[in-house]
Amino acid sequence: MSWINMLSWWQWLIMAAVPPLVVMLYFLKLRRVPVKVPSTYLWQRTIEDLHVNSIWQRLRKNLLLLLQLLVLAALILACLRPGFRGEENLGNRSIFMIDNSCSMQATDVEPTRLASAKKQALEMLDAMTGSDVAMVIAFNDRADVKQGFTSDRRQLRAAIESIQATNRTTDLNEALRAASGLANPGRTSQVKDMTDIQVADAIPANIYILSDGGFAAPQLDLGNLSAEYIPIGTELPSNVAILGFTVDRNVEKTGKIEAFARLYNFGLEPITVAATLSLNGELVDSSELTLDPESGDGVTFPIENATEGQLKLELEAEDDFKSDNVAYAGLDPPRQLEVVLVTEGNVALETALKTEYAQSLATLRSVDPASLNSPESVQLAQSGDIDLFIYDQCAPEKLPESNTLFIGSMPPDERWKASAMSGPLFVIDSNKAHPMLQYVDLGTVRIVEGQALTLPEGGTELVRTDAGILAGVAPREGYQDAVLAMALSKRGTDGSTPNTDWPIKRSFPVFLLNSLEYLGGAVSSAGAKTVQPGQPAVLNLATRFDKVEIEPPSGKKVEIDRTGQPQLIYTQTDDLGFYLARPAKMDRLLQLFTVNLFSEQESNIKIASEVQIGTQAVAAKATQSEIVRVEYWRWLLGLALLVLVIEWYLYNRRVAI
Amino acid sequence: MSAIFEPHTKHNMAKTTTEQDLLPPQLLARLERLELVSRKIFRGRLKGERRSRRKGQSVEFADFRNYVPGDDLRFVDWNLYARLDKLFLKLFLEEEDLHVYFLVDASPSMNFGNPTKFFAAKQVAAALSFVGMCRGDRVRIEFLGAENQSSPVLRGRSQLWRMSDFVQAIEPEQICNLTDAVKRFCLKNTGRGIVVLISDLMDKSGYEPALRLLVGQQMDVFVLHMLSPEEMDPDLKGDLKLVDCEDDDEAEVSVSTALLKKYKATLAAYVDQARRFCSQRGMTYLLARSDQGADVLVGQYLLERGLVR
Repeated sequence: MSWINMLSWWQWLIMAAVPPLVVMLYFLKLRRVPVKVPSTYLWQRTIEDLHVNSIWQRLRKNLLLLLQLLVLAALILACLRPGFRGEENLGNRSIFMIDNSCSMQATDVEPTRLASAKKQALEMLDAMTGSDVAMVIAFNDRADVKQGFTSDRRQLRAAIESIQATNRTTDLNEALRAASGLANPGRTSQVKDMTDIQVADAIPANIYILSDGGFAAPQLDLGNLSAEYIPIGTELPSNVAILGFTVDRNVEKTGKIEAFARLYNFGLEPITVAATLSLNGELVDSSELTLDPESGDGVTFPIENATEGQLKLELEAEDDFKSDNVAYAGLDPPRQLEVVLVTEGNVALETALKTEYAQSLATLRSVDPASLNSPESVQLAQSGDIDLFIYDQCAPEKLPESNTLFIGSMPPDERWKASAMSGPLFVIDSNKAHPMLQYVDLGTVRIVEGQALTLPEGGTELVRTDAGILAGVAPREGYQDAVLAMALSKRGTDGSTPNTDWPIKRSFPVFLLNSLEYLGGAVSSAGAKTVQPGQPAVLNLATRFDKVEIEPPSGKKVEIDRTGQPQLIYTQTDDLGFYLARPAKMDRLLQLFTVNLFSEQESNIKIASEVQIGTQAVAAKATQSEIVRVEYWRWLLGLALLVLVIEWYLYNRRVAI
Repeated sequence: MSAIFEPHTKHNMAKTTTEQDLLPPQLLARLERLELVSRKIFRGRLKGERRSRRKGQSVEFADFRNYVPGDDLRFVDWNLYARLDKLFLKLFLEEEDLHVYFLVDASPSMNFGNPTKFFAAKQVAAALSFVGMCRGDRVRIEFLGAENQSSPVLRGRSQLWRMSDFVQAIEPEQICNLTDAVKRFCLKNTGRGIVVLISDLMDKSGYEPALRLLVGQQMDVFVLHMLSPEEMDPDLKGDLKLVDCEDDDEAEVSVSTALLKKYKATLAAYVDQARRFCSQRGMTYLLARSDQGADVLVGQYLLERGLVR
């Protein structure tokens, strides 16, 4: 038999005051009725012996009071939570790691996996002995230490109960690092630093991972930690998920949009689902399809005459996980790109940018390189209103607040480096997977001379020649800078002579169109940006609005001060749904973005039979019963109730002894 | 009749009731046939209807004795002288009267019950007085209180109305000590006779000294212990504060079955003690319930127990 103290000292003080209070009330409540009698002579003689220890005599004689005290005793005992310990002891240092990622919202165990995990953790907490300490960590793609090591059951209990479900994905790494802080103190020290010595002794601890196992194997050595994986969920849950939902404009037909969704059945039974698409809350289309076990399928919805709005795809399916049965896509309004071409005059470029399709995409304005440093041009470059600057054999002093494409010149950024001119160059490889080089064939392009580029960190190689990288693209604080290290034509005193035959090939206008689409903004995709829950959303907004208001799905608007930055990073993306960015106190929609789960890892809610941590495989613990204690407080409460009923009966029957 | 049965009320008693309430005619008729029994034969002053140990003038022959000079020649049996030639004197039993005292406890504690113990006591005293009066006894009723109230000596049936007027006029008095009251009685009445003490004996200083005083008078003492049904079988419930009507003494009790049982045991012991005390001292102890009624009490109960015959 063991006891768990459920109350703090002051609560016990109050509790201890109750029994004397009951006894006092018993004496106080005696409002004796005066009755006149001929003589108290005989009565006095009768109660004479009762006067000896009269208080105890009264107590002894009063069954009701005794019963009341019995009820109190049962209640006090219940507060001590008597019970027998389970067969297995928890270690004296335990770490409860409770998964609160999106997949823990699955309802294959009642009411949810997270609730079940919390319940199990609480039961395990009860099995701890008085000196045991424990720590509570809630983890999803990040770890949240809810309670550091303590032996205070109430704090631990409160910490476990405070864990809320999230829509985030799962990553155990951070949680394990937090857990191993004390167990493996050397781990955080600088190994190479000889003066850095381990100052704390390693204290081994047991980790209890209460999760469905839906996470990638963390690359961490457990060291002094011993892990136990307690699977939460069933092995055969049913779930149909939307793994992707995109919206594309039909290139051939203006105003026509196609919504495409990828569905997957993670269950072991075939399932028929109805997919319903609604635009701004109104039903647009519906489709029914049957998915085989553990297989996926796509579904396409053509949408006529829609230019902007909020698309919502819902699956009507009786499965165990609802969060992935709905997907959101924002339909951005078609927008004319603002493109500035800085050139002394380039027929090839100007011609390619004046095709019918290019004109439908972008408004082009040409600027002479001589006026690049004029205040108007500098202001324009820094305003953020321009989507793309194309510099033809020239470069500004400072990079503009927009995406850039340098042709035959280098950006004023020391991260970009170029070798000396060499030639002729032969294209030996092009990155066709990159959107800028889609449908672009450079195999037959001849180049008189060019440079070899060294890309900044994070840059992507686009075209490689025998001399080195000819073209590449690299990020710059949310913008993209693309460089083509060859001029299209060389300017001399006698006019310009071609440097390459690329402008006369079909691939050249295609490359420029790709550049407009990619660098100018994902216009053709029509769909608004989407991020996973908890991931930061980077918004490129016009700088003329100092304050932007973001309206999340919950409707609780957040005002953000941009402080002059062209980019705005919004991090509170925990809820699934539409997020609307507006200028503060204005109705105009600046940008729409969505938060969707789109995670195969989360949607696959089948519990893992084991989890891999570093090199160690931790098998699922078969049962919880051996570490969970058997409780008796319910019986005590039942007893209290029974005694109360007896007391009530006696009171009403006025049975006296 | 009902008015006198109501306890705690003084003004509704006596004045509005008639003697029929106290002694109904049918009871009087029964009482006429009874007489008080004394286990001792006492000498009275006047001729009564009671045979005395003294030889005297009556019609009932007792014995003969030799004539001695100076005897009244009227009692010489001349027939016997004619036959035996000796003078014998015929002796007759003297018929004498008897002193009968009724001492009625008039303390407030008697004024309880329905009918009150006091009323029952008065009724018994009046009934027995009537019995005595019919038999030519000298009857005196004395109410024991702070000041004893005593009736004149009553003798003969004709005194009935006087007696009943007196009895009905008496009300329970202020607190009195039984011993003091009895002492006052003893000082005033030194003669022998029958004493019937009607009391509830609820005297906190004890009833024993009072009874000892009566025994010391060499009287034939009858103790009629009058208790009300409420005392013998209290119908009380709950947590009570019992207040003594005489000295306002309080007793806090939580009435339970056990307590009631204990009370009855105490009462039984008390009664038993009184009975033993009386029998050891040659007194006759009789326990009476106030709700029995005079006809039952006198006509049956006391008859069966030998106070009257």
